[in-house]
Amino acid sequence: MVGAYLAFAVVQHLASFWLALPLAIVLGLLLGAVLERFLLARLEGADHLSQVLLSFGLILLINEAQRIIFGNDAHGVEVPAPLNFSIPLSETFAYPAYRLFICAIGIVFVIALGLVMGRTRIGMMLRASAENRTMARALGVDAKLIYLGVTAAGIACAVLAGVIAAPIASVYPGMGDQVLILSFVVIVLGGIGSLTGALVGALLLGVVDAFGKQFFPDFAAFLVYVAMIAVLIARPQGLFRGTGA
Amino acid sequence: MSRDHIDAGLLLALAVLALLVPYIWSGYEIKLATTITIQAGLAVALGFVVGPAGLVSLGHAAFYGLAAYLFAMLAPASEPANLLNTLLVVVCGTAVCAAVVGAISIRSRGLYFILMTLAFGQLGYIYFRPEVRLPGLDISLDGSAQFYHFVSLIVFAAFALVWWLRRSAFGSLLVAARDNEMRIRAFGYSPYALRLVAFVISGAIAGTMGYLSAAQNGFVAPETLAWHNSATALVMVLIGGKDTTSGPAIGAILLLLAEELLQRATEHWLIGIGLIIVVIVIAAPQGIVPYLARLFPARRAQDA
Repeated sequence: MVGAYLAFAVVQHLASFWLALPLAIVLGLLLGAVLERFLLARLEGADHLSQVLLSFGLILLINEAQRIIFGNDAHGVEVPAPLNFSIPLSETFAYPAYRLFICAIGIVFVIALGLVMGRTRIGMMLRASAENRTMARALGVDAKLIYLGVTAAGIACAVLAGVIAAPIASVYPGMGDQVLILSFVVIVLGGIGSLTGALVGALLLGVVDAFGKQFFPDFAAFLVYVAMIAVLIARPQGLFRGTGA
Repeated sequence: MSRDHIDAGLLLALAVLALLVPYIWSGYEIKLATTITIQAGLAVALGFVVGPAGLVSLGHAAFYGLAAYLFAMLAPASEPANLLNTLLVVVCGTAVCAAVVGAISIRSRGLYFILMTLAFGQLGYIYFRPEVRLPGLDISLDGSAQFYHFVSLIVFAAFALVWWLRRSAFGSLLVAARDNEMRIRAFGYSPYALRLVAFVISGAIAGTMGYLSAAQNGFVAPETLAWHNSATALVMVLIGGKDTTSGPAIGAILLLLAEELLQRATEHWLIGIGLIIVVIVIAAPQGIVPYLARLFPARRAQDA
């Protein structure tokens, strides 16, 4: 959501959508580093629940701050010019290029993340400290630095996603809440700590939701939750059991 | 003073405060106090599963709302509803639902359990659509003060029940099953059954609170069941302290009072709430009541 607002502000003042992308990464990294260093790090060793509670408090803060700065209205962001055309699929049906661009970014991102996590030294250290922090530390991994990096990178990704989503979503206070619960559902459904799981979870929910709306419009909302319950009954630990939880 | 002493002391203090409220304030303040008391009841019910049982439920607002809708279905259209009959049926109905939801959900643990309860809660939220108006109750409660006494009586009975359960052998078994499941199994208990019983009791109390709230407001809206309300109740539990009985109640009172006062002061009251939550998490990650307990260290520390 911060990202979407950033896109809005940059487009308003600098009249360039593309400038918002690098700005989003820088801002996200800074925000993440500050949050981790000054707030989350204090909760090291505390309950997961305390961290959840802390982020809940932060959501309220950021939401209201945005309301003060940008007001309550919903804003729109123009689709950037080079991508503002549609690709005709048939005589009556065309697909906007910008949405294809989003798909492409999503795919590239997943592949890149998979490679980083599975093939590089950083990915290895990251998985190690998630699985067994003490052991990783004993082997010379700077777990603190890893956490700082992961939080910063994670928030930067979220901000970036917000920028990219801004042109196809309307930008309004509280727009993040919907995404938040959906992301949570996707991650848990797929299996915490599993990249494949998150991917399959996202596709499954998306497909169930889309087909549900198309074929059983009255039950679409039900279907998503029934699917969630069914998956968890069959596999109480998520679709793909990940490493760290 | 140990944590248990502080806990019991705070509960007593709250009870005295609840008794005094109608004599100090009137009108709007009593309505507000009624709402807060009911919410405190919901938070304490949730705290009982989040704390000792280690089950973080995001579906408790659904039990709360379900009870309100059950009440609406039972109540005759034009005349006041019979208190004893409706309350009994509503509480049993919620308990049965909690048993079904619990039996399926408790197979999962941790985040997966949260997701299960979230899904069930949202199903309920989608299922109960129209907003319903309710008739009053058939007991003659003159004005809001008497209704407030009636609500306090039930809520504090629930507090006492939860406090007793937490200290009972059942409570100890729950905590033990949370901390070391294997050992409790070895002793021949079923952690699953223990948790299920706790979940059903908690769901039934949440239902009772939903009933009271429906009786107070005279209508139910589907939003009552939505997960936001479960999350709010969870925040109350966590800032107050999930491992105490009085904690969630204190959390509820603090959060709702802050909301009320900040709303009067500024349009951007959510910033205040956000700040309060962040400060409490950083200063007292275990919650307010355990924090207080540490401020007054045990006098006989060497015995403990």
